[in-house]
Amino acid sequence: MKKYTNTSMTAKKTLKGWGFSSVYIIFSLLFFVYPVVWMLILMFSKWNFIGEPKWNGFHNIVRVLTDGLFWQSILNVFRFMVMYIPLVFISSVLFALGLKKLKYGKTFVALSFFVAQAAPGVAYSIIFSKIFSQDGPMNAFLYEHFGFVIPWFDSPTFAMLSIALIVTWKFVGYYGIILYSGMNAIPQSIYEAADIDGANGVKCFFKITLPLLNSQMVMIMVLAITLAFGVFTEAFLITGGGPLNSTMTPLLVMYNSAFRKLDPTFSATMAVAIAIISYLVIIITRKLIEKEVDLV
Amino acid sequence: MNNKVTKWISAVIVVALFAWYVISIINNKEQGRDPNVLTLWIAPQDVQAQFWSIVVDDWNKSGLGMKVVYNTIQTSGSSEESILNSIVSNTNPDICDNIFAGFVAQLAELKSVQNLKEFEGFDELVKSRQMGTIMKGWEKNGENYVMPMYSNPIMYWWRGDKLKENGWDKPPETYSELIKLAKKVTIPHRQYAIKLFVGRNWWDRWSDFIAYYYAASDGQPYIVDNKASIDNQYSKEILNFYNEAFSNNWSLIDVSISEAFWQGTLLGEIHGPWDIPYAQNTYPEVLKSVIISPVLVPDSHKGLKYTLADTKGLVIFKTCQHPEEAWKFLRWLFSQEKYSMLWLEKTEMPPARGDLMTNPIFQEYYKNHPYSKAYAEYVGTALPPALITNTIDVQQAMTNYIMEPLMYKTGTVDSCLKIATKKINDMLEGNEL
Repeated sequence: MKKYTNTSMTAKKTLKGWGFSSVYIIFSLLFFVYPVVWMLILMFSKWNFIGEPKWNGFHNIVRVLTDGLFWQSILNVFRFMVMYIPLVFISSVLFALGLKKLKYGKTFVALSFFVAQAAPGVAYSIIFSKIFSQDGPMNAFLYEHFGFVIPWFDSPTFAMLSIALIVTWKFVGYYGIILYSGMNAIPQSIYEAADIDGANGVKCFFKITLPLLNSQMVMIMVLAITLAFGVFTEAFLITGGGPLNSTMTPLLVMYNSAFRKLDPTFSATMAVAIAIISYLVIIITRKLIEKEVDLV
Repeated sequence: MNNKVTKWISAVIVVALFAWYVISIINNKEQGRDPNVLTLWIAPQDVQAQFWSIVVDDWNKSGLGMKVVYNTIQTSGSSEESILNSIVSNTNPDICDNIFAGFVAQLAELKSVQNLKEFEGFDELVKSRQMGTIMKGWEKNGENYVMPMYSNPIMYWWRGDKLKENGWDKPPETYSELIKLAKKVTIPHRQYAIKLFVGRNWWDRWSDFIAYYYAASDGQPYIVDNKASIDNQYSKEILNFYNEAFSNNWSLIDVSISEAFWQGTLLGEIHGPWDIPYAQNTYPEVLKSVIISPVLVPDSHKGLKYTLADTKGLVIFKTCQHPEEAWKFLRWLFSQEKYSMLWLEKTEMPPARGDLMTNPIFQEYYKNHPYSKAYAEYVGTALPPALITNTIDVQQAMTNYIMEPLMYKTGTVDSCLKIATKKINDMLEGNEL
């Protein structure tokens, strides 16, 4: 009798477990497993949205790897990272340090920066395109006071930098709060010991704060790299990938290919290639910067 | 039955009911169209919606055929993308407006649209509207998939007041006249004579390079026998002119400035007749000074001035369960002059018909509408873009290998034409997925 009760209990627990997990499992099957399987099928198929996909061997892989625009978009991702990561990292550190120094209104300031994170991409892209346009307020100010204007979105050199600035604006609050929480976790006693040893503020920052923020920095780097491979709205709405394809991002190439040229198999293959490349970049970055940090 | 079991059964029932509800919504969306209603998608433009609301209302009241329900095309990027998405998700309408030549070539390739020539009375309808010449531009392998609704010649709008201030009583017509004007009026970052590069979208090439090519070549096609036909004297003349204008910063380059013309920063810009109602409401005083004139031509050019026609029309999808009923609606609409007149009144866009300048009903209208008349006068020399499936690729190549290299001085006229021709030919020859 006792045995029967135990079995019944286990069955109930199992049922409960499945019940709780089922939502996640169904969600994953629908929105992750199904698209991934479909993408892998498309990778080896010839299909233009209509009818059944037909086996196409490795043709799509060859097409992607020999496509100039694919490599240009990869290069653009690295150009974006070179501009965006230092910009967003320095700004976020400054923001976190500033927040730490504040005595009053911390929540208000943090929220003020964080609110950019919630801003819809379409809305702020349109606003920034107006602010930075040739007759916009930014250039009007520059022309009025310094006699020159900056072709923010019309120069192949500046266009990607302008997008990096916009994305920095969006993420500085988010990354800053991550760093701020990391700074708060560093025990005050370490700074007190350094003070006794005669270390100044700058030395403390570079020798204590930054090294002990390693896990937050790794997290920010991973987030920033993932973001760099996924830039779309700003480039789509403001520059359209130009000028001279200087802001042509992988997602823009995939979007154009699938929904404008009716070539979803190219996009699916490119998506797999981008996933592999971004994964490799993240692995290498972690190997290079991740360190074991013990605060105790 | 204990309490827990009851709770579990209730939870399962709730989840099952919810799942059934979601599935039924999806099914309804895919298959649950009312079989006794024809769905029509129209361009997302207020003035066009006003026209269609009257037409659809009249048709439904007439009792002559199946009820029609219209909706505007939900555009995220472009109408074409929305229509393609609807085909993929099997939610496309029975009839769709706003279809351009290149897109219909794609739809025909996908075997998604009906050949209208197969319907009874098609030839008579074309004849009655004197659309013979217009329809030739829409033919693909001897078949017609579109009933063209309107044909907008690409034309320039000039600020007459600004021209007068600078001693010009009429707009420039040739390249050298434009250069002369630009030398006089250009103030860097403050005032420009013209915007030669309209934008980075593939469709913007209709308003610059292709329109200029038709104008310079007297309407020669830029794709002949599925090959690019642009590496020639006409293109060289156009691009030498562009090159000179870009090199001397005589053309406004920033494509994000939308009101430059109205604010006086720009003296000449491409506009469509759909901008007439907008200008009447927003800039009525500026509009009074606007002069509409054709696309610029080389100095040696003589005779008629050709341009590109921004022309769009209606298709019947093959998924339509009652194609004869859909055609009955289109035939009823296109056979009545009063609806061509209504279209003109509401949108100011020339209806696609060959008798605009001869039919008294339109002549009367044009007497009081000089801006619309300026467009109507060029309907006869406005040609549609090439009817090819690779429109986007070809026009994107024109951006990437002609317009931008000249603007950013990364290519010469000869190198741009050679590279663009090769790239376009590769695309046209490849033509595969």
